[in-house]
Amino acid sequence: MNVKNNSKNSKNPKNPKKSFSEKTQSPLKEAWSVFIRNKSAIAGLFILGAIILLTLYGQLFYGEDPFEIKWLPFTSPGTEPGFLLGTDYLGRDLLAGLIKGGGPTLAVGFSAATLTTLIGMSMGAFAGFFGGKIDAFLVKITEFFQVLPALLFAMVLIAVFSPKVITIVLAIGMVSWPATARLTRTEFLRIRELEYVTAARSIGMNNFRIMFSVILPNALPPLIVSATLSVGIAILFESGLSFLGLGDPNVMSWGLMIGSNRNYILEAWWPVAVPGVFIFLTVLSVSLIGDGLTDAFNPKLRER
Amino acid sequence: MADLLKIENLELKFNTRHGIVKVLDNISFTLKPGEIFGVAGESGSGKSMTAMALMRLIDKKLIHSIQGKIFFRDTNLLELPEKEFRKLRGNKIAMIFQEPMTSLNPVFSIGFQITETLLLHQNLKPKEADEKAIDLLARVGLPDPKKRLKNYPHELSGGQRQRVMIAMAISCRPDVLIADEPTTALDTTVQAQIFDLLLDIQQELNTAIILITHDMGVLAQMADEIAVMYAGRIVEQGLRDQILDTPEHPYTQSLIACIPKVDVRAEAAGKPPADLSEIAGVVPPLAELSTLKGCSFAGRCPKVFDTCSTLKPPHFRLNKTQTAACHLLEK
Repeated sequence: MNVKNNSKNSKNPKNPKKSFSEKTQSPLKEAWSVFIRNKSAIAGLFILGAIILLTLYGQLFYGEDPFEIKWLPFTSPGTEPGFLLGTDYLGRDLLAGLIKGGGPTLAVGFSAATLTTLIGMSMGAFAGFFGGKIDAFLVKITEFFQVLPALLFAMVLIAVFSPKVITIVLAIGMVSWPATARLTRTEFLRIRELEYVTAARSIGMNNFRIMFSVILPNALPPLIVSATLSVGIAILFESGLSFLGLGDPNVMSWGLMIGSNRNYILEAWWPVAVPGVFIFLTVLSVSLIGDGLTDAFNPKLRER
Repeated sequence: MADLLKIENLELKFNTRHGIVKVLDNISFTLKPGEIFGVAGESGSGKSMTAMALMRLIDKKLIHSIQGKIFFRDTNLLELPEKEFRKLRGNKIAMIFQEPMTSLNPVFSIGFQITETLLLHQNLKPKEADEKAIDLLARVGLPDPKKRLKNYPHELSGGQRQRVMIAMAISCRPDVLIADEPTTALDTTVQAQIFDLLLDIQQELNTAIILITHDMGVLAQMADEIAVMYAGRIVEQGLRDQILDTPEHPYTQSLIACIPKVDVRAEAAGKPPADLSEIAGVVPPLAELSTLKGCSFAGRCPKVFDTCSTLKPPHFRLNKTQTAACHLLEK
């Protein structure tokens, strides 16, 4: 009876009782609409966007070689026309270094974060989904990497395999994935017990499909946040390595600028401060975006 | 008519902290095409476990052993490799769950989820699957199905979500549909609609339905045959009218006494409504059951006597179609 009634109603569009809300929103779109209303997150997005634009297009307008000695060392910013930010201890143009060095810094940051997320996600997914012995084994591996002193381990890796950009990315990825793995594992442990996973199994899906097309999309929100934050961590890590002299000496980066000028900080503060401020701004903007994403994905925080 | 599903002496044991525990004890029943088989019993009686065992959805880490046979047509489901069984699951044997609010994946539209089931088991083009999904949604009585495809689960009400679940379950025209308390989370008017829908589907597709519920009133309206379960065991089984009119097991009798009766005239005349009856006590915990020698219902049975605590009652055949496991029936 009721079934028939309903189908009749559907043919009659004037019936107001049966109309659903016309706007249909996916959970992701909904999170996005919350995100773009978050002022600090948007500020972060703008800062990061400006920095990316500066490093991508800055070279078109200011294509000076950052390694070339151009002028007297220790020229203060603004005192010499043509050297807006002054020069460093060798007389190299700081503005050129800032523009040229931003690209590698950001590239290392983003690719190391991607690597971290990929390794961490797959380890955590398998551990959390299968449980039992597989879980125990993968958790042991994760813990092994977690108790290693990250910086030392990365230094050893870079010292053994020459200091190239790719080695640095791999080293950062290798030492920072355990946190992501643990997060993914917890999410998988929680979600695999939920009813829609049993329901997915009951319609005949296999394990692989349940892992990646049922559980993973539901585990994504915290993973997106952690991936964003790990971009900031990776940038700091890269700067730290360069500061210690373990960066790629042939590729200009902000860390390298700080590292090579650090001995002369008492004579000239700006060659250290300028790239330092940019690292700070980049990491800050990434963190702001990460916080905005946390709020957007967590409905309980939204109300606050 | 040939049996569609035949369960023989199904026995399921779990590993628990309290040791090995028998969860299902000697379950046997058969299901014919188009039949509605009701399974009744309290929480913890093993109704849902029977369904989960049928669908092989129980976590393997819990299982200590599973014995017996489950024949679907001529294949023993318990011996089928997982890969082969996956082809039946959701295709020939489908299931509807208790909680429509949580049984749908929240991050995908319902259209995506229905077509996913279709594409998994049938050789369809995505566009054909979309059209079929629209048909299915119309079939389960969702108004304006074409627009609904794009809706996400949180945009639908509980009743609508359960209709979507039913649409997914019947998408491949299953021979057996297991409905595990499909209406517990829904309000009464929606309950009636969902049961109407299930009856329609059963008649149209000749699907056999295993209907699991604690509500004898529902079974009185829907079921052809009823099995009453208690503590992992079928204690009484028979045709609907036999169970309702001549229940022989004290547990069945108490369950039927629990159906509330509304006497409108008496209430209008100002008489207080009759007290609701209950079965005193609770189902004994599984860990205790395995050490129990006698009948598991003995502790709560109004007609308990000496033998009950020492000997487990076997199934007594009362007539061609009715059996019950109670010492009182021994003659």
